[in-house]
Amino acid sequence: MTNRDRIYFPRKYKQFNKALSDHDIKTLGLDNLSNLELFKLAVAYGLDDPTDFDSAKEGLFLLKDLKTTYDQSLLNIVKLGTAKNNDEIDDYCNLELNYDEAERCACTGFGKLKDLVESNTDEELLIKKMFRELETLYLTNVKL
Amino acid sequence: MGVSITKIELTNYRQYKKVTIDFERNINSHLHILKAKNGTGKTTFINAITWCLYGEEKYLADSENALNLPNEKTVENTNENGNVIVTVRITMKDDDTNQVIVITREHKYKVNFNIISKNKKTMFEQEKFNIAITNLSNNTNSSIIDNVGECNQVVDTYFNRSIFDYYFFDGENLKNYFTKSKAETIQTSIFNISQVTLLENTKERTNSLAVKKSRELNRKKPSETNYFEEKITLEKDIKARDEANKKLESDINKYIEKKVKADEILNNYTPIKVQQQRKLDLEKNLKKNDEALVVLRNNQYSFIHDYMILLRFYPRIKKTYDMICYKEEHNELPPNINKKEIREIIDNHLENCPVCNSEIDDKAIKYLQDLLESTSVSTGTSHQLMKIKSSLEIMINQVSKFEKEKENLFNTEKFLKIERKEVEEELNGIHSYLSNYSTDSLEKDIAQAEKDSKYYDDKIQEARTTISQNIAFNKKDRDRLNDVEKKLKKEEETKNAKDELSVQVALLRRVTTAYENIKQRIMLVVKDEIEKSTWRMFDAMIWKKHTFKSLSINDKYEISVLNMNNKEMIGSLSATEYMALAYSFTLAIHEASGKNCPLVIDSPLGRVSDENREKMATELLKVSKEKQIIMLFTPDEYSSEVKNVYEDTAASIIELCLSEDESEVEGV
Repeated sequence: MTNRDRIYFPRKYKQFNKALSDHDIKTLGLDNLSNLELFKLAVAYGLDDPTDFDSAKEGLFLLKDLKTTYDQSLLNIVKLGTAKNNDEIDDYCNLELNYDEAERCACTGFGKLKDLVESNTDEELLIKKMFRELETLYLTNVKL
Repeated sequence: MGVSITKIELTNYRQYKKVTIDFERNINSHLHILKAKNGTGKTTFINAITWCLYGEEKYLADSENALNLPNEKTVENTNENGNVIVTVRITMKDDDTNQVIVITREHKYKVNFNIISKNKKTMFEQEKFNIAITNLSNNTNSSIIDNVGECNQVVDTYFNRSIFDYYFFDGENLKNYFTKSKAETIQTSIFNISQVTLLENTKERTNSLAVKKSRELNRKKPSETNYFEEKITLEKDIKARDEANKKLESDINKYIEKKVKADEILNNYTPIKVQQQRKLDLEKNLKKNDEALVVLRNNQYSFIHDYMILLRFYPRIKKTYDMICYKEEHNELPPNINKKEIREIIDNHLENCPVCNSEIDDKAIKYLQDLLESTSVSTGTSHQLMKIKSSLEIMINQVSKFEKEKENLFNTEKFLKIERKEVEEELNGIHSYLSNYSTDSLEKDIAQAEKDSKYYDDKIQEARTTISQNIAFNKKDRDRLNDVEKKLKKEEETKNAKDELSVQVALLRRVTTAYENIKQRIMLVVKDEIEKSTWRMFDAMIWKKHTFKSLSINDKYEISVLNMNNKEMIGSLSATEYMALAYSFTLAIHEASGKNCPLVIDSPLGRVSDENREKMATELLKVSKEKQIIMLFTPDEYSSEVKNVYEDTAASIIELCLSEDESEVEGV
């Protein structure tokens, strides 16, 4: 059984997270996202490139806030979605393992999001870029 | 000449079985003498007269023990159950009115036989009393009065019943003529005769009327409410409202003119105003477009967030879902079995089951190995997979909507941008159009015109409301005014009635006073006349010329006779003097009554000595020249001295005598 009660993120993005929650950064409406939503987005961005925390970590939200089956399922498949055999399925069904993996993905994702925000000054262009990226993802991940 | 009795008819009246006596005057006098012995019927004759006039026999000695009225002989001759009718009829002539008055009183008796006394007895049955008056001047038919009250009134006109004994004089009863009680009766009768009572009654009636009217006047109190002031106030208010309404009507016309002007300005500015309105609408649309773009942007953000997660996760989602579906299809999702524990049991060759502690034999090991073979994942994993399956379905389903949602967002953006462009272009056009006008003055003018139009519209409404209110108030006040005017009219009528009553009361009081004065004057005059006449006749009848100085009558009609030394003589008069005084006073009363009525005297000279008889007889004869006198004498009384005076001068001398059986009067 896990003793985890919350999800963590790298302290180095604390400032970034604060700027979002203070609405100092409004790019892509990220400032209106909850920490859970932001975490999910960060996990998505770092899904294929998880990295370990290279600095101290900060709590982002409590697990008890993870109320919907939808969100629980999403975080459950971070690791489970990569299982190659039945044994791995059993192992990867471990929530702790998935949360750990999700934190590692988010660690990468936060960096990507920060870069995305900081490198794009034109919101319109960024949105268009995002749509294009989504279309690509749709093509590659869904259609193909 | 006055009033005279021309005939007296007596039928079955006591001893007068059937007697008719005519009294016609001659050239010398209207003196009639009836001579009869004592007991013949002299007093009965006078009683017959009083019975006829008053229904009473005034000189009956003992009425309780007297014989019945009907003539005894007639009663005896009447059969049992037959009727006897007693009648006395007096025929008079009034020279002043030229009327013949016939007074008839008739009693009907029924005759019965009394078994005990063996006599016939009479029972009174019916009375008739009537007066027939015939006017000789116009030869009209007689009028008959048969009402008792009216008959008594006619009788009292000639022979007032209060002083009957001054018409039917009893010479034997002089002592009664000057008693106090008599004086009062005389006073009353004289008042009646001289109409003083009538005046007194009239005065009392007038006075009571004045008192009644005065009370009525006092009851008519003035109203406490000042209706006049209320009327003035109401009229003032109504007039003020009418005037205010006129002014308001005038104001309304002015307001209408001004409103029309303001509306004209607004009409002239209508196209500009339309453009301005369109501009406002477009600006509103633009604002809505902005809001929609904001919503779109948020939707785009949500789309990016959601799909960035879903699409990136999609391989894992799909893979996991497919794996779950596969295992479901191939029944690889076991019941509640822990694969790890089973493997430990097999690998470690445990002798007893760690769950139930039962022995694990080879057969059990074989069964567990088969179970392990058929079970790809553990029960917890299976449970976990089943739990996330539905969420994964939702995610897959949501991803399937990606293109459609993306298309919607693109279309919405496209539509909003086109709309925005169109609105902006139209707005630019309107701005360009409005830029040709001075916006400041235009807006100012329109605003002013709108303000004016609304202001005058409000003013018109306000004025009309006030007019309606004033009309309503005036209607209410006019109704009240009508009421007040009615009340004022009633008050005016009351006041007039009060004034009229005041006048009436004053007049009645003056009349009452006048009546009182007249009454006092008449009383005085009548008394003086009676006093003078009494003294004149008394002085003529009395032979003593140096004894009596004067005679006076006080207000109570008490006579006082003074001698030369001014001493009262009334108590010291001789019988002759007393009779002379009685005659004088009687005749004076007759004079005062205004009607020269007959005088019937029983025993006219009975108390007068021989020496004075002639003198008094002579005086009475003188009186009879102007006044009818009927004297009833006894033969003794009708002495030679008297006979000398009357024998040739009396109008008639009748001697009454009784029949042989003394049952009836004869010789008339």
